[in-house]
Amino acid sequence: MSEPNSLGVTVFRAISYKRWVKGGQVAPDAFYLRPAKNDRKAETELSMLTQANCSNEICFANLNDCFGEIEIQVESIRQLGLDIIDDSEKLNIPYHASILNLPPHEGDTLAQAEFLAGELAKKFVQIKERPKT
Amino acid sequence: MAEAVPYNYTKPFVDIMNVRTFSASEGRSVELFKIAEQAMRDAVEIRHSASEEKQQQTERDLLVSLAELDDESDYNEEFLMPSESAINATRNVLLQAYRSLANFSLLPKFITADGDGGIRIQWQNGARELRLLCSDEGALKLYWQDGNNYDLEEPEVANIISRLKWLKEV
Repeated sequence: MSEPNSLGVTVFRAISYKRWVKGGQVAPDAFYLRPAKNDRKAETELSMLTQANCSNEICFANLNDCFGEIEIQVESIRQLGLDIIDDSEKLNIPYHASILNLPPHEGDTLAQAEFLAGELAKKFVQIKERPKT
Repeated sequence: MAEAVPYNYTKPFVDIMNVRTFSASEGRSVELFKIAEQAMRDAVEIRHSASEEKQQQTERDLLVSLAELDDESDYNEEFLMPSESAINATRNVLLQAYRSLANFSLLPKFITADGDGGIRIQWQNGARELRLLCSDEGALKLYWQDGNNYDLEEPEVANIISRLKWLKEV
């Protein structure tokens, strides 16, 4: 198990929407940056977790509704020309990491964002679905 | 796993017609031929209605998947339910496309909300992928991918139909 504030071999994407996962597969939706909308600023980095020993009571991603985590290798992310950093100290959020260099999911970079989201979705190691209470 | 072989509705009747020559000496060949001919006509009708039923089932499955996005428990103020405009636009374009494609039964792999009031429909067949993105205002975008090649395309119904056919060509 990796220590807090360090990247292990794998990282995790919290499943905040249950339809991101179906039939043992992951939808590309889980891996694109949400564009600006009303008062919300456009995401520039994709939130990940360095650890995912979550339970129904404790969610490392601080989500009200979390359905589990998608585990993906750091190396797989970097092979796509992306980077990932452990920024838990910088953001003061335990176990937080960010995927960098993802293009905005809009305008001229929409197609590239779709492509990269789809490739990330294919590279998962496992889906850790939260046990239902 | 062995692939299911579609039932050939006409085969038994063709077999009956082949019997004709052997039955000729009994004077029943003409009668048998007429029975077989009528049976073949009936079989074609059965096959046609089976095809219609399959098409209707595909449409029902699509509509059910879209309706499943209506589950309020999936949404909150940060992740919004699809808008009425998005649902209507998506439903209309999907029904138009699937009705133009006879016997097209490849259903989307994912039908999801984008969290901003829009809908995403995603198909895949091998290395080929197609994604229809519908905004909360009902504006469509069509993304295709074949391995490492990808692009956006004008989201006209004709293009969606062509791309759905293209998906199945793999």
